[in-house]
Amino acid sequence: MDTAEPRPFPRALSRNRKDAPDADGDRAARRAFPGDLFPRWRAARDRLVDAGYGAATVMAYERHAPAIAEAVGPAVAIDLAEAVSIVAARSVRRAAERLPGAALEAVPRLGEAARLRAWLGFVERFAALAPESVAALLDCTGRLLGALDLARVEAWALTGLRLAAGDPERRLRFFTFADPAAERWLRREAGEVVFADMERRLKAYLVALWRLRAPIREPSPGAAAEAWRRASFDHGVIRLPPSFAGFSGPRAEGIFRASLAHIGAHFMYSGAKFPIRDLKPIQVATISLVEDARVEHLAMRDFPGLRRVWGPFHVARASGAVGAPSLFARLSRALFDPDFEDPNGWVRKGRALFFARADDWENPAISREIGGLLGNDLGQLRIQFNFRTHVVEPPYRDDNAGIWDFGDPDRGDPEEAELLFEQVRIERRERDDATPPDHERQGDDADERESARRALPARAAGADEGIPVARYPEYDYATGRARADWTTINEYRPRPGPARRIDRILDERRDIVNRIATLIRAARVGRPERLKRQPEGDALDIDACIDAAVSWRAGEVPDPWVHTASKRRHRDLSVLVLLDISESTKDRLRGGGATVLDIER
Amino acid sequence: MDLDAYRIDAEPYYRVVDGEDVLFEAAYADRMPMMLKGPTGCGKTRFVEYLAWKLGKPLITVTCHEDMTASDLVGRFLLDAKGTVWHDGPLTLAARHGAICYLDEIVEARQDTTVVIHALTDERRILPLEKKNEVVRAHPDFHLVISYNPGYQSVLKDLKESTKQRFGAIEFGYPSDDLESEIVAHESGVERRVAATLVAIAKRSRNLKGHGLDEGASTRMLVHAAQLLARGVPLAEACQAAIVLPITDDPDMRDALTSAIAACVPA
Repeated sequence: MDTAEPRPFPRALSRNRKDAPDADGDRAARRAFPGDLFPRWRAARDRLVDAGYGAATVMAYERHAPAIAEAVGPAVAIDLAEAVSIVAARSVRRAAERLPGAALEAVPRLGEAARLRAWLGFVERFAALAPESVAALLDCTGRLLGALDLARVEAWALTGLRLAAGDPERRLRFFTFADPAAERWLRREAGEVVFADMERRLKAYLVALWRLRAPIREPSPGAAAEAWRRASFDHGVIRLPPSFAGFSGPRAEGIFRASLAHIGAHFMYSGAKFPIRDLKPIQVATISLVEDARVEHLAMRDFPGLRRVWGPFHVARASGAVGAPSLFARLSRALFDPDFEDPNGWVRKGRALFFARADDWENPAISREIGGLLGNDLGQLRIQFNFRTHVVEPPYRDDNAGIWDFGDPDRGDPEEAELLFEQVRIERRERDDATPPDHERQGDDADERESARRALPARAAGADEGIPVARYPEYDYATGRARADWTTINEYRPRPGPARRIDRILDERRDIVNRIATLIRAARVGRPERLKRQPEGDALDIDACIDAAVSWRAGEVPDPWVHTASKRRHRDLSVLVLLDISESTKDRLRGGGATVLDIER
Repeated sequence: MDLDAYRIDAEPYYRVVDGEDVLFEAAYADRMPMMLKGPTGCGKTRFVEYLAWKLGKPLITVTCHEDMTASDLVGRFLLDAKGTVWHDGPLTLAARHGAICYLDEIVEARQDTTVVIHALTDERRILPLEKKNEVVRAHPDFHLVISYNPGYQSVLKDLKESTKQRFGAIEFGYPSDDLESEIVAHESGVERRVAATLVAIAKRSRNLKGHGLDEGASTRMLVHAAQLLARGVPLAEACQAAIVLPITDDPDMRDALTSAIAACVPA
């Protein structure tokens, strides 16, 4: 029996590991790390053992390093141990255990040692910034590197860090993709066509078609999942998803346009909202479907080319399983496409009813009438309809929330009605949520101007902080992307200060005052003034030349000032002074104690 | 002097919209100076030509520009073998011999140039020629017409109030859809339904005025597009060449306009 002081159990386990390594593992390691490299690898492994990161971490390194060495070279595989150590020190043990496996997963995507080193460096930096999220990041290595190159992975990660604003829980939600923003930004970094890229041309498109100038925005961060899949509108505000999953390139542009044109058709041709009253969810869905078809036909009457915009998205086949989703898609197509033949009795009935009322399409009530009948029929046919999973098809069509009046929530079955249009409840919740600073605007977007003037809820605004009056996108230099609705403009009335401070500043900074005055003078706007009868200039003054010739012929001395010249005539400018008093102006200048704000003052 | 070179022999095509011809003739009867206001390409110049033909009067047109001087309007001495000879400018020519003088895009000219018309546009109806020491009394048939595009107003380029208030005005805009289709079809030879499609396209661009475009497509642009169509150019290409590309360089506006044009074209 060893009478020396007993070593701590984990250390004893580690010691045993060093002394009695796995024979198969050793053989693999000797192949991967030949000659002098093997002792170096062992030393790197032993450092992990001695550091006490646990057997699982060491075993993970032992298991994966040889494969990494054979793929991209032994040097980086040896250096991987250092990265494991750093991650273990900065983060949780699970992350260190995961790193070797993630590195092996990354190898085929990255392809070479230098890139793997760069990736390891990124993981090390990330561990310092978001220790709780490292394991989650490593778990989605394959997904991230499958969609993005390393630079864009870093940009995506940086976006997640900035969105979380220092909150570890929010970070974890992002990097586990529990936050829909993670998926959204992943698609954006992957270069998919996103709303922000198309916003300006989409707005102009709506104005061009119908002179509609409705605000168009992405869903609020707290919106339900459906809001990220389908467009929506209500209270004069249009919500478009940041991207449409499965659509890229020109098809993505096409679906954005189709979606907006469809909502424009609702704006132009849908009447007052339909009251929900006692309607069953299936009837709500069928009425919505008929209403979609009705407004589209009216729009195509004015803009026949919209058929080409919407047509490609109607892909339902007149065959297959007879379930609610299929029937809805087939009926949508049957109502849209006169050449689409469908043998299904319900689809044929819906089509016959709809087109029989073609002369009455201006009347929104026919949607309720026809849709109500069709919904009833489906009920009698015992077609199962799950309002929880119902998704409007084709994908360019909106969720129809904007055409329904939910009225008194106690009437009817409020749970069913609200579940069917989940975002209504989400919007109501948004108004009540506390909104920490630097986050997407909450509040009722029903009246864009009104909500912009309302103070952020559940936050005591100081007298100097003012009220938000606008939001603008901002370019994020770190990620190289524009961030929609990121900058809040607060308007406030500053407290008056002592006037003598201004005089003092003007005296102390006379040199800068003079320079600014010179710049303003130089920037004055004015038309060029033509000066005639000049001694020199770019052109001849023909009148002066003629006078000179007349004088010469008359035997007089001609006036030699026969040129014209141009001179800018000044006009006063009004000057707006924009003073940056943002957080960054607290920074101190190098070499002095003054802050940027001091200098601005 | 013989102004036959300025007479319009054949009737210019002009589609009266809302009695503007009657109004102009009434103003002409009193030789009231007239200002034609409206966007570019909506028919102001064609209207003047039509009325000049109808009234049987010669029409002297001056396209105003920034470098134009009073001498360019009034006249100047020129030198020839015999010495200096006075040449009447277009304004003097019209005043002396009784033509209609049409100053097109008058805001392009400098304000110190356009004031030369003041004496002709009030009861005096005279044009002093200081260099000649002559006062030209306007011929009884002399009539002054100017065109003016309100969309190009700016502090730097505008008519003086003292100039504006000497004129009566007729507002020109784009005609109704039917009329504009008729005009486009007549000028280009395309079918009415094709012309109607072009008018629908023009309206899309006019919706964008002030929302990305300074001006929508003019009737003139539609005629250009129709002329290309009549030559066999496909509609989309004709609209690109005649409307989209000239009207804006902004890629987002071009995209929006192109998409809106596509929406107008039957599937």
